Amino acid sequence: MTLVPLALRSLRNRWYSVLLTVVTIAISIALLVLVDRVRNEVHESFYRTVSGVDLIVGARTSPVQLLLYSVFGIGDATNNLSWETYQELESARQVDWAVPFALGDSHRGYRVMGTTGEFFDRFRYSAGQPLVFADGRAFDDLFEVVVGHRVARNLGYETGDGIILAHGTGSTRLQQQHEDHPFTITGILEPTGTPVDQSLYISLQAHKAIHIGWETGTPRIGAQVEPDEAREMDLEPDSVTAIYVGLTSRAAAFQLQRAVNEYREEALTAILPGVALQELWRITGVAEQALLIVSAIVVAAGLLGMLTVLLSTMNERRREMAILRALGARPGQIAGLLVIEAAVLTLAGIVAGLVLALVLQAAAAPVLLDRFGLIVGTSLPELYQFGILGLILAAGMIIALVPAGMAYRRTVADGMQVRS
Amino acid sequence: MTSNESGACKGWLIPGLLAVGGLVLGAPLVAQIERQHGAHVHGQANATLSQDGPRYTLELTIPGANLVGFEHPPRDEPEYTRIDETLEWFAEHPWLVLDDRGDCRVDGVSADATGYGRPGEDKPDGAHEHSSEPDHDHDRHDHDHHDHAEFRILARVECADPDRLRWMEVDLFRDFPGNEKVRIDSFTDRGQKQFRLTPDNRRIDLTR
Repeated sequence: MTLVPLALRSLRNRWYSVLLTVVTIAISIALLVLVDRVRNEVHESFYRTVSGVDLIVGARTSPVQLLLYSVFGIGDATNNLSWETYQELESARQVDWAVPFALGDSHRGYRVMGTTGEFFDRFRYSAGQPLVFADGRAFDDLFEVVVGHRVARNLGYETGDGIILAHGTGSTRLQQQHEDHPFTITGILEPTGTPVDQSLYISLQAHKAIHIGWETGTPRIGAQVEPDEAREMDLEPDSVTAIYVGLTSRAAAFQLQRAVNEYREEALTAILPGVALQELWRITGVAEQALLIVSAIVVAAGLLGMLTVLLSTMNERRREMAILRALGARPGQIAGLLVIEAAVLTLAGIVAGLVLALVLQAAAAPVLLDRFGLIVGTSLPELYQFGILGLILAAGMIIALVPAGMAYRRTVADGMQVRS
Repeated sequence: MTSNESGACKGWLIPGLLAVGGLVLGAPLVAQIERQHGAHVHGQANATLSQDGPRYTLELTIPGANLVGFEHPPRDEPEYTRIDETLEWFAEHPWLVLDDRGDCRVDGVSADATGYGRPGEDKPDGAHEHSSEPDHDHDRHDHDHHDHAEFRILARVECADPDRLRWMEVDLFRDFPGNEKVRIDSFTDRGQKQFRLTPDNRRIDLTR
């Protein structure tokens, strides 16, 4: 009889403690794999989102802050930038296109972006893919709105539906509504897997129109304008939150970035979104490392748990070992049996851990998609992760050398003699 | 981009901005921001790397202190010489090393020192007239009154096969120990990246 089937049978004999050991290791492995996978997926997902915009210009602030509020809807702008600045920027010779946008309103928790129709033609995500309408068209009339895929799906909207936007981005129940200006949905966008799916789009003019009479933060009685009146008004915006910019050449990106950052008329910040994203990862890197270290320690704890089980069963198994010895097994084979057992336990733990990680990832994906518009795939671990898992397997076998050594030293007499 | 129009904004502001907005609106409208200063960290150089087709452009901005050890107008002949020698070093020394695979060559390097108030020197962007005043004393760290002295180095690289170029090395740590870090923002066919070079890690890994 070879050692492996023997080890398996011995394990089956003690299936209860074996199962617990495997579960312990599986949880620790799942944690390690998840921390690493989710980090990579989030990084990729963020990068996909910003890959089509050359430069983002906002009021002077930290590059990371500007990136987060202008693209991902995380946090708020500290300042707006003036419309004149937008006009000058747009006419700069290095600029191919410039799409200004204003934030600050919401609709049932989703952010509302006031922008120009050019946004739908110019915005690119995930290696140059343009936005596509699943249904309908861009806004045309003042009180028309385009909604992202998730907004339409989660709220059950179709083109032609009327909606009311809320003032500010606070909790939906206490918010004041722009009730006197209902909007009609004219278009629904195809899914993009970016925060675009979580947003509603109106024209900058509409954004201004619904805020007439709101200068103090709440509607002044009688100061609002009727929708028809608004259509007659000059609704050129005074300011916008930020501007997405596309450039004629890459060398121009840095020239323009410098010019914007040194602009005398207004304190501005221009960022290359990909670069700002790396600054963000540098900040979060410490926390990510800490998480990885913690999960590595949990794996070590799992393996030590296995050692405890192996050691505590040594006494129970004296007779088993002695019988094997009596049947002619050499001490080395007994020791090998224990190492194989540990390998089987660790391997089972790793496989179960990977399965658990995939299940958890699949479970977390909709939440990440809903909250942040991030697509987190349930991909298999990458090559280097298998390397790490291999190391863990080796560590499990090395740990098993402790009980194996003990078994080796014990003689046949140890299990057979009757102790007084 | 120049304009004489007012850059300050007025009108509506979203509530989250109201507190800040109130302060802005309360202040007199100022046409231009005259007091703004770029960051300038001794020991660290900033660079940008861009690619347009076969051409890479690397532009370094290095604080004068990193290279020559001073940022005041040169006081004597040795100090003038040090600036000139440093400029020559960049023009002649092969400090930019390229991966063979892209079949690239350095197609011209220009080096410039600004803020030293030397005769005929280009004023740095936003420099004030009095930055060349004789009583200018850097040791007092009179940061409100002058722009820092900097070296600007522009290197152009032409590649026959730019897609295959995998790395570049910026090798100026040995000759200029005062320059400890180079931060490079890059924008190439492979996307927007940031690199941080140090004496132990001089390589820009373009494939990363």
